[in-house]
Amino acid sequence: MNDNFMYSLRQHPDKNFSTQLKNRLDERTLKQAPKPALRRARLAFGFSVVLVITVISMVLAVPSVRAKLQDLVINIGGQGFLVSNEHPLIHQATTVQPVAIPIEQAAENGVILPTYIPEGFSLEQDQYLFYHVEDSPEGKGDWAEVTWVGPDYEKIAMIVSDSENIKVVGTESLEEISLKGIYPAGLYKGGWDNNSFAWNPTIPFYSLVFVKDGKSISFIGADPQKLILMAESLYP
Amino acid sequence: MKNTSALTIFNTLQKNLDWDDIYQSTLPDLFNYFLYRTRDEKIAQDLSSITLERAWSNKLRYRSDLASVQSWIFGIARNVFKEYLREHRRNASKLVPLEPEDSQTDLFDRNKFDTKILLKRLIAMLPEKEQELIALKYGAGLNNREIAKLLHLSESNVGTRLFRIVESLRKKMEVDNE
Repeated sequence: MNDNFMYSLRQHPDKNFSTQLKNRLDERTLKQAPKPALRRARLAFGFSVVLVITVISMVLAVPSVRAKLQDLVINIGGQGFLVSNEHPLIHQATTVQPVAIPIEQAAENGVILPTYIPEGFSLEQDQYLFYHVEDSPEGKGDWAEVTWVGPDYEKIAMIVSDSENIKVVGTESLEEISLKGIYPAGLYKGGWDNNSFAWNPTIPFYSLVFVKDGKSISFIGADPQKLILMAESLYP
Repeated sequence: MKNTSALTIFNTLQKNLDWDDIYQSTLPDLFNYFLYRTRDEKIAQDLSSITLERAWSNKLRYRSDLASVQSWIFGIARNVFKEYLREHRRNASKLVPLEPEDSQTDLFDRNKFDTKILLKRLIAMLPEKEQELIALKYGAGLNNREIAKLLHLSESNVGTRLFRIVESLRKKMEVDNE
């Protein structure tokens, strides 16, 4: 079939248009690229450190503080993020002892597990951890934590908590993405360093946070792609 | 504990893709896809920009095990075009002028007639699905297999449909140019 005439409408994109668009995309890429310091980052920081830091930052549910900061909070799909360089709870951290609950009871307690688990990963324990904080200087609330462990001890945690909790994240670390192309979620790298009380963008863990069925759900791990796939498997 | 930097992980996810190359190779095809669909250069530029900006924002979501980058980007492009059509639904039939108003009266003046204008007009008169096939094949430059995957059709079905459409267009052009 001679169909050469069908190509006759093709034309080259305008050069100025092409250059300007490329510049815009390059700027976008620069904003998305990991910071140079990340090259030095190592998992030696330890997964548990990040978990503790994350858990602490989740407890920022103090109504008076929230009211003052309301206009600074970024809302992504119902999840509040306070972008700040100030540690959320300087010298006020409360130690919370978790209760271990059999994993079989997770669903009935509102902790829905993802149907997708990355290859080679399995539950670290046949139970999940439940934290409950009564009134304290940091606030109050419940959250549950499930951990999977994979090859080379790579870990992924899922934390389910009240959606009213605001995540405090370092500046320029938060990115909005869509799960399944529809559901908004916040993705950020790094965490709060409990020793220096500063945001540390070199901590090589990603947190993916979104609200589903009135609960705030966080997936934390080294590989954002795995986190996204696990999160998307929570949706039909 | 695994001793791998996050940057390494990030780069692995991207499968060492060269996004500069992807831009250079994709833009002409993307622009022409929209040009065949809208027949308007400015709108084709706008829709190409929206598509590539959306793709660049979602680089992390690209999975090389599911589709080629080209197919992934054209999947986004088709959604962008659907959104554009929805926004302009009421005016969809007069999406863009095919030629300047004053040339309309000369449409059948053989001396002034441009075969490109005729081809544009004939494509614009095709059903929506056939216009999409033409745009993907001759605008985007995709092969039948890639089109079949995008449209959820069999490869032979795509080939047969395209053959019929092109033959029909050729006959119409021959008749109009006689």
